[in-house]
This record gives sequence, C-alpha cells and structure tokens, in this order.
Amino acid sequence: MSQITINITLTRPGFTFRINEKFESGITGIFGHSGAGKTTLLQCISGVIMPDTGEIVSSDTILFSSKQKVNLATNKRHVGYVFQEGRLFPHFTVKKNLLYGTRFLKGRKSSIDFEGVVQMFEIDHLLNKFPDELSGGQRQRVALGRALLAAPEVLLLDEPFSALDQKLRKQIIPFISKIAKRLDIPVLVVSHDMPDILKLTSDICLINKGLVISHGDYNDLIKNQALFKVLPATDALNTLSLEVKEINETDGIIVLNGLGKEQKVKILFEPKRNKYEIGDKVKVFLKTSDIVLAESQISGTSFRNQLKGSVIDIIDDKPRVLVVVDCGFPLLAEVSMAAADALNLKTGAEVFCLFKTLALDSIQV
Amino acid sequence: MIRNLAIDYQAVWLSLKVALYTSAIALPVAILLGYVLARKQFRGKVILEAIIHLPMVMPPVTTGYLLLLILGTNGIIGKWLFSVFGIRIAFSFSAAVIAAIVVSFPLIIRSVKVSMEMVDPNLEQASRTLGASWFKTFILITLPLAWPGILGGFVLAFARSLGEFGATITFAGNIQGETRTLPLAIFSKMQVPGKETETFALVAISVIISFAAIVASEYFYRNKKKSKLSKKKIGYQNAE
Repeated sequence: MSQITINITLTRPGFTFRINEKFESGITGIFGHSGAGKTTLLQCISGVIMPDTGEIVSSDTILFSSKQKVNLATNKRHVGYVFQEGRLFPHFTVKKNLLYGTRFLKGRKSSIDFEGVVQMFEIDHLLNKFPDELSGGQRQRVALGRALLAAPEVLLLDEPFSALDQKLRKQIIPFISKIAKRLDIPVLVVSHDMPDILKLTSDICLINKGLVISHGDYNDLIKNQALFKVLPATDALNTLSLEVKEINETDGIIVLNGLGKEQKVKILFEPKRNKYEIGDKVKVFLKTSDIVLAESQISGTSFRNQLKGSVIDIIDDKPRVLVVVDCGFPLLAEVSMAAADALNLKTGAEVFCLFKTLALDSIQV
Repeated sequence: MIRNLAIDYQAVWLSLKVALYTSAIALPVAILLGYVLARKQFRGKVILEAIIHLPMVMPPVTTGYLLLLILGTNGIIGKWLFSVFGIRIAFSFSAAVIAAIVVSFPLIIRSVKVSMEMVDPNLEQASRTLGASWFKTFILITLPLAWPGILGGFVLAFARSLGEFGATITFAGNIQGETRTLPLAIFSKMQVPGKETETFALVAISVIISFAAIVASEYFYRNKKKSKLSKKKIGYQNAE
C-alpha cells in the first residue's frame, strides 16, 4: 500500500499555504475554488515549486524535507502529473508520446505495460496520429496513458475535465476509475467541480484559502457541515452508494438497496445507458432541489421513491432551508422557508423524502 | 569570354569559409544563450541583451574599430594574447571570422530566442514529470520544437557573414587570400578601371550564393514539414 504524506508551509505575498495530510492508495478528490491552493499543492508534490518548510514523503522516499535539506528534482520524484490541457508533445506521434517516460525508467518497472495502456484507454487506432489530430478526450486519454507508463508512485490529475465538454467528461471518468482499480497508488484529482469529483470518489479533501478545511467521506462532510464552508449548500449534490437488488424490465425500474440501512431506491431502467446486473455497486446522484419533503407517505403520485428518515439538521440559507435527513445515508433536501414552516420541521422529526426515478443520475463503480 | 575572365575564386571560397565557420561557431553559443535569455530571469539581462544587439545597430566600421581596440596587437586582450601565446588575431583569417561572428550574432540570437520563447514551457515541465532531466528535455523537446527558428537563425547568420564588409575591412584588413572575402573583392575590383565584367561576375556569384542559401533553408524547413505529413498519412492508413 503506497501513500504520500505532506506536511508543508509555503508563504507568498498575500497567500499562505499550509497542509498536513496523508493520502493513501485510491482516488482522493481535492476540492476548492480557484486560488484556494489546489494547484499549489500539486506543484509542491511534483517539485515545480519548493515549499518554505516541511516534508513530503512518498511511500519511503523523501521528496522534500527542509530539515534534511532534501529537494528532489521533478524528474526524480516519480510523480505522474496529468495537466488539464494534456500537454502532449506536438512533434511526436501518440505512440512516441506514450513511450516518452519509459526511456527514463532506469530499471524501474511500470505496473502496466504499453499494450496494457493501449487496451485500457482504447487508443489502439490513434498510435500513429499526431496530437493535433486528436479530440480533447482522446488527448486526455493519451496523457493519462503516458503518465502511467512512466511508472508513477503518485498520480496527480489537475482539472482533468475542465478542457472537456459534458459528454466527454462522462467518457473519461471510467478511465480514471480504472487507473485507481488497476494501480495501487494514491491518485489526487484536483477540481473545482464537485459533481465531477463525486463521480470518481467520495474521499474528499476540502481546501480553502490555502488551508485544508476537512478531509473525509463526502457524506460525513455534509453531516459535519464542513462542506458548506467551501460549497454553497444549494450546489451540494446528494451521492448515494447503492447496490443493484432487482431489475424489473417490464416496469422499466431498477431497485437499489442502501449499503447501510435497508432502504430501497428506484432508478430508471435504461438498457442503452446502463447495463447493470444484480450485485453491481452503483453511485446515484440527486440534486438537493429535486427532493420533496412530506410528513407521510403519499399514494397516488408519480414519486416512485419515498424514503423515510429523520431530520438531523436544518441549515438556514434564506430564503431557503436545507434539511439534512438521515435515511441510512444523509440526504440533503432544499425547500423554501415557507414550506419548512408549514411542515413544522425540527431536528429529530420524521419525514419522507420523495423524488422521481427520473431525477436520478447513476454510474457504476 | 568567360574563360578569359579572371574570377577571384579565392575570394568566393574564402567568403564561404568565413560564413561556414561563423555559423558553426555562433550557432551553438546562440542556442545556449538564446535559451537562457528566453527562459531565465536574472539581473543585468537587459544590459546583456543590449550588448549582444549593439553590433546590429552600430555601423560595422565602429564594430571593427572596437574589435581592433580589444583584440588588436596593442589592444586590451590582444596585447596579452600576443605577449603570452604569440597569437596575433587582427588582420588574419580569424579576425575575419570574429568580425563576422560579432556582426551576425544579434541576428541569430534574435531568431533563436524568439523560437525558444514560442516553445511552451509547460511541455518542458511535462517532460520533467515524465522523468527526463533538464538536458534530455532540452534535447528532446525544446530543440526540435524550436528547430525552424534555429535554422532560420543559421541562414541569417550565414547570409550576414557572407555580406560582412565594414567590420572585416577595419579589423581584418583586405589581404588577398586571407581576409579578402567576396564583398571586399568586389569593392577592390570596383576601384580598378576596366574590371567591370569581373566585378559583375563576382556580384552575380554573390547573388547566386545568397539565393541558394535561402532556397536551401526553405527546402529543409519544408522537408521537415512534409515528412511529418507523410507520417500522418501512413498513420491514417493504419488506422483504417
């Protein structure tokens, strides 16, 4: 199990960056607004900029230590860095771009070989093309493959989606998920787009004004409200980790079960978009404004999902109110103040969260 | 008639030699210095750039005179070179080359610096994260991407040193077979009445050489482009 520990301070005029965190194998989303210090963090890890004091240790290698006066050169850190624009070398073919890092391995072995990368990122047909002949999504896939072939011990992805449109974003996500499954290394994904991060991971590190606000599971960040310090509560997205229990083709419904408490969530069966099988782990996304709160279950409506839960928190955000409901997993519902008054919402109260199957977006994890 | 013409081939050959030496010596220096000027910030950079570019705006005769003051047998450095090593630079072939280097250096460094500035430093950074050292990055990424500009600089330096007159005649003199390059030969012939045809022949040769240099550089540049294009085509066929 590899990991990277970072404990550094960096002071620039008008900006102090301080972080003391450990990132383990798997994907961690680094979220913050622009200027929060996300890219600074990646640059410190990769050695592009030097922190003032502290230590960066990747597994057993000291990358930087102000005490021991160690500051490894970028090329000796074995830190993979995928930039938002891909940064492919324009004078090399895709194949040469992919193989670029392999000539500097000096006996180190990449846990994935050339064929493996070509297959994983589905770039077989692009090998002899030049970067200017590729689409944005293809370029990003080649950049990911190129980084992996250099045998990184840590992988940094700087806004990997920002250069892509919505459709391409959805396409690149499974590739990044595959990396984390295949390689036992920490993968840090920096983004200012929470929905994008959530599609990859629920392990979130929140950064604001150069400081780490909180680091943990997304749902815990909602529960302890750390999330709302960096993200307006109305922009928060509900993320549910569920498992496929039943597939009802005739009704056009898939029934999912909560992993904790037995709660059934129904999503639309769309064979063209998702080919789920029973037992698949699925992540479901739901906007806070798509949830309707009710005192009791309602019959005779089109809401196929009616989850019972108890109010654990009420966040005032005039003129709306955000209600955190524990349904086995926290659900964040956004209602108007008038509606909240009419329902007489209080912490501990029992409510039903109603939402349509159509309001849900899902991906397999 | 042409057979009877006494063309000063020696001058032609000498000019080519000076131009080749100049470009060959100036190019590597210009590549390194151009990189430093394009990428690094340091104190005195403006002054350094001004000094490098000075010969471009100064009258060549002034440049030649200054060179004489520095490297002449009684010059600041020239005196020391002569007394310690017995080396005499002024009024020799080396002087012709040095004069040409100093005069053409601003042109070549400008071209190299601009083309290096055009290379995205982000690509160099990407190369470093993939494990390449600074030097490997320079050789594999920076140089190939800046290549058209470097080649352009080489041709400019070559052409400028072919035509160098003022600094050469001041610092290297007009010694037949040693420093009498093409422009100096043309000038000398012009002074003698009745040598109009020979003068014209040299002028014609001068035009031809310059023309050939430019065509050659275009050819190299296009060839590079074409080879990239044809590779693309092959790739396309493979893809199908």
